[in-house]
Amino acid sequence: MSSLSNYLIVSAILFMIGASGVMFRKNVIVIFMCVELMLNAVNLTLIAFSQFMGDQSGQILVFFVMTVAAAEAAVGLAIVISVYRNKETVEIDKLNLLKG
Amino acid sequence: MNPNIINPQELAKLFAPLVKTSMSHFLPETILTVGFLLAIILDLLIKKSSQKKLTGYFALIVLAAAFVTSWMQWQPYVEGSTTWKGGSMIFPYMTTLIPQIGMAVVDNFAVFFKLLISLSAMLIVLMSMLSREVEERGRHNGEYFALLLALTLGMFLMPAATDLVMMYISLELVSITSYIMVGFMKENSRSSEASMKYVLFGAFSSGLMIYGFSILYGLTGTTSIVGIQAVLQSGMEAHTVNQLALWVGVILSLAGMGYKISAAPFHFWTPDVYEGAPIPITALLSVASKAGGFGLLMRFLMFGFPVDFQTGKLLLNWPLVVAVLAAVTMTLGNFAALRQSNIKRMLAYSTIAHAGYMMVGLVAVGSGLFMLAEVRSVGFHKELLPHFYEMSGMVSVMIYLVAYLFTNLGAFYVIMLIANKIGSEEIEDYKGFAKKSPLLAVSLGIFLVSLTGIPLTVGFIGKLYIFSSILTADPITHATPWVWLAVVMVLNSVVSLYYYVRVMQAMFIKQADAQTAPLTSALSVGPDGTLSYSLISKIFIFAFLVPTIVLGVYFQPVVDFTSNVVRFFSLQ
Repeated sequence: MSSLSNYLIVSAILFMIGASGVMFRKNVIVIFMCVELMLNAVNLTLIAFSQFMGDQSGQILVFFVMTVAAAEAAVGLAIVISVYRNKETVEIDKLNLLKG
Repeated sequence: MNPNIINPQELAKLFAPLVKTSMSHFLPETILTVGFLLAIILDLLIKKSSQKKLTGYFALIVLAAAFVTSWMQWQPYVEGSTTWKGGSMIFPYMTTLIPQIGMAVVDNFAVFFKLLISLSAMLIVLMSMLSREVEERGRHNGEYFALLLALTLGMFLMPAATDLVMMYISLELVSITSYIMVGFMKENSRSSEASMKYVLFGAFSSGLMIYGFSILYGLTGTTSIVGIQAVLQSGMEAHTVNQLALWVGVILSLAGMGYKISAAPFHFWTPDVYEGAPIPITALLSVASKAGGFGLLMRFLMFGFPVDFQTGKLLLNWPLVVAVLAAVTMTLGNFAALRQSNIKRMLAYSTIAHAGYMMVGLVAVGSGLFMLAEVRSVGFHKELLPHFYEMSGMVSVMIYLVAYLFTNLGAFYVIMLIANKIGSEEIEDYKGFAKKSPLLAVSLGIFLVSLTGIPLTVGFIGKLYIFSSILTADPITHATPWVWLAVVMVLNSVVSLYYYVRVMQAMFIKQADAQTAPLTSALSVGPDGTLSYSLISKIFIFAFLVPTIVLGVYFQPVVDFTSNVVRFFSLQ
C-alpha cells in the first residue's frame, strides 16, 4: 500500500516547496521557515530509505540534522534580531548596504 | 530474531579497545574542544574588558598544542616499503556491508590540512589582537577567541571526515560558528547584514547538500564514503545503480561544498560577507575555511568516486563537471573584481578566482586517477609512479594552498593595518600611500604580485604546479585533454593582473589629493605625513613577507612535504 516511492515523492515535493520559498520569499523569517521545511523533507527521505533498507545509520543522521537545524535557527534568529536593531526591517530587499 | 545482531555486551567488549585507540588518535581535536570550554570559563573569570585579551593568548597556546600534536600524527614514509599504510580509521562502527568503517581517518592528508589550518588560525589570533575592529568590542573578546577555537575544531574535522554524518557536522560546525564571527560587530549594520546574508546562503546550500547525501544514502545503503565506493563499484558492474539519481545526489552534495570554497554558482555570498566581516575573520574565511572545504571536497570525490581499477573508468565523470565550474568560477571572479572600488570586495572576488584555479588542480586529480588506472591496466610500472605524485593534482592544490595562506593572509593583514589608521578600505583612499608608509605599501605590493602569480614569489610556484599537473600527458595515449582549461587559466591570470596593479598604481604613482580626508585626519600622522605603526605590527608583516619571497625561490621543501602526503595513496 505504501511503497518507498510515495515517501520519496512527498519529500521531494516538500523540498521543492521549501527551496522555492527560500528563493522567492522576501521576509527573512519566512525564508528561515522554508529552510526548516527543506531539512524536514531531507529527514523524511532519510527515514524512508532507512526503514525500507533496514539500516539504522540513516535514522542516526536524522538526529544530527535535527540538532544542527535547531542550532542554525537559534543563530539565525539572533542575527535577525541584530539586523532589526540596526535597520528596523527584516525584508531582504531592504538589506542593500553591501552590493556591487 | 535476526542472527546478525550481536549481544550488546559482546559488542561493547569488541569496541572498547577501538574507542580507546580512536581517542588517542583524536588528541588534537580533544585539545581544541577542551580549550574551547576553558576559554569560555576564562572569559567569565576575567572581569575587566581591557584584560579580555588574555583569552587571545590562551587561544594561541591551545592552537600551538593542536599544531604540535597534529605534527606528531605525521607518518613518515620509509623508502622501499610497500605495505605501509598511511592512515587509520577512527571511531569505527559495524555495518552489514563492510565489517569496519570509521567516522574519520587520520592520515597524512588530514594531518597536512590540520597543520595548515592551525597555522593560519594562530596567525589570525595574532592578527585579531592588533585589529582595531576587534579591540573596539573588547568586552566580547573572550567569546571571539573561544569561537575561533570552535571554528578551528570544525575545520580540523572537515578534511579528516570519511562519513557523510561527520562531513555534515564538521561543515555545519564551521558554518554556524562563522555566521556568528561575521556578525561580531553587531552594532555595525554592515556586519550584521553580512552575517544575515551568510546565514541564508549557508542554510540553503547545506540543505541542498544534505538532500544530496540522503539520495546517496538511499542508493548505496551506507553513509560511509568507503562503503559508498564499494557499493557503487559492484553496482556499476551489475548495472543496478540509477545513473540519473547518482548524478542528482552528487551535484546536490557539491552545492554545499562549493559554497564553502565559494565556487560558482554558490559564490554570491562571498563579496558581501567579506566586505562586512571584521578583517581578521575575512582573512580566516578566505584561507582556512577554504582549505578545509578543499580537503573535504577532495576526500569526497577521490574516496567516493575514484577509478574502477577493473575497467579503468571513472565511476562518475566528475572531472568534467568540476572543469566547467572551475572555468566559470575564475572568469566570473576576475571580471567582477575589475570594477570594484572597495579593496576587501576586490579581494573577495579575487578569492573566488583563486578557488577556480584550485579547482583546476582538482580536475587534475581526476585525470591523474584515470591515468593511474591506465598504467595499472598495462602492468604496474613503478618507475612511472614518482612522476605521478610529483605532478599529481593533489600536490598542486596543496602547494597552492600553502602559497595562498601566506600571500592572502599577508594582504589582508596589511589592509587591516591601513584600515586601523585611515578607517577606510576604498582603493581611492590609498592614493599616495607609499609616501605615508613605505613598508606597508611595498609589502602589500609584493603580496598582490604574488597573488597574480609573477615569478620569484610563492604565488608563481602554486600556479606553475597547477599548470604542470593539468598539462600532464597521458602516459599511454599521450593525450592532454585539458588544454582548453589551461588556456582559460592563463587568460584569467592576465585579467587579474589589471586589478592588482590598479591598487599599486594608487599607492605608488598617484598623488594624494588634498580632499581625501581620511589620511589627513588620521590618528597618528607624523610631522612629515608618515603613519607610525608599532614595532610589533611591523615585525609581524615579515611573518607573511618572508615565506612569500623565500618559498618563491626555495620551494623544494614544500614540494617534498606535499609529495609525501600523497605518496601513500598510490601504494594502497
